[in-house]
Amino acid sequence: MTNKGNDIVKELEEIVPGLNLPPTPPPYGVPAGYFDQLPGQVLQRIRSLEADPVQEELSELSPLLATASRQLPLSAPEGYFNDLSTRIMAGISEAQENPAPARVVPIRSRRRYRLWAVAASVVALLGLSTLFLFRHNSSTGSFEAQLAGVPDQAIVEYLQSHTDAFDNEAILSSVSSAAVADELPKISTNLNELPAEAIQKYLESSEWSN
Amino acid sequence: MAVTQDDRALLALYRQPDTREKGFTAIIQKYQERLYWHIRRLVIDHEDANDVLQNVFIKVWKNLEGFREDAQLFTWLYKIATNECLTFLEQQKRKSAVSLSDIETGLSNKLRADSQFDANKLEWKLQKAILSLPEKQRVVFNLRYYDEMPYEEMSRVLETSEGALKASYHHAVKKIEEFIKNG
Repeated sequence: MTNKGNDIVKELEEIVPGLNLPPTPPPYGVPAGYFDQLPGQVLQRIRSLEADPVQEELSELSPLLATASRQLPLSAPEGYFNDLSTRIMAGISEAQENPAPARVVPIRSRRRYRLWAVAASVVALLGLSTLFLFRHNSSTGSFEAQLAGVPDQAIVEYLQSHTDAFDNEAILSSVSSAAVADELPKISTNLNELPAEAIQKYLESSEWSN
Repeated sequence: MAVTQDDRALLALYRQPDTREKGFTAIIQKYQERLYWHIRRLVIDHEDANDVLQNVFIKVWKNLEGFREDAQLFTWLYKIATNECLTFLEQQKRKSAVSLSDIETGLSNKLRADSQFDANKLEWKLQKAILSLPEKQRVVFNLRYYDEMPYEEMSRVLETSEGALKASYHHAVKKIEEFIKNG
């Protein structure tokens, strides 16, 4: 280090004769342990710069929830996880050693089986006919009459509070695409491509704010 | 997304007859806590969570042979755990033959029975608010809020489109905020 410094001083004297710079290192210092802490500090800053998509989304949706602790207040009994795998493996071994007894199916003659099959078919046919007639004459009419008596607003309110996106998908999948095309204007928007802000605005609209 | 290198090694252990139990024990130890907390948040009570978790791992043991490595093991385990929780809650409803709101009350009571419960603290109010959501919406909220699961992965766990999951989560957050403000 000293030699290196001397070499540089000599070189400087050759370039600018009479400069007479001292051959000592510059009088700057760094705090104790600075270089030990530097990697940790840099990593901390990198982490803070990296966006946390869940937290960002939550901050946009609900500042109240974004500030709440995401720590679950529930706790597991002490040492619960220590021997959990042993207990599970013991349960598996026990289940393998004592499998549930197989159901014994009595062997009947083919002739008797056929008789039962014919009898069951006749009963099923009679049952279905009765059910069809009953539903056609009374139940359907009664249900439809009851439904007609429920105000539209009550149905809308019920659906708003009891359905979510899963149900919407199920309902849409149960309706034929041709029927949807007839009833609704064409919707080409792919939900997956919608930005969070657009969904947020939609949810804030009067229809969903109730 | 294919199975990770780490999981591939565990599955290889499981597939060898002489190291089968060792491999499966390692899989349990790796995922037990994450799955436990996922289940616990849905069924609330520790004993119920313990029963469901054990059933989950027994199902995994029975079906792991057929697990295809083109999916993440973690995603597959979450899918089984979620289905097992929903089945458990459904059975609870049938057993007691009660309405949906009574089940919600039952879970709230289990929450109140916790020795640490404090109705004035925000974290407990949040738990009560989460219990007021429909079950599937509760699953979506928990996976996003607590597990920080990306929608893409959640879509594979719940077999629902990302758009529907995003809408469901946004709706859930709004309901929870409303519940806390009014409660």
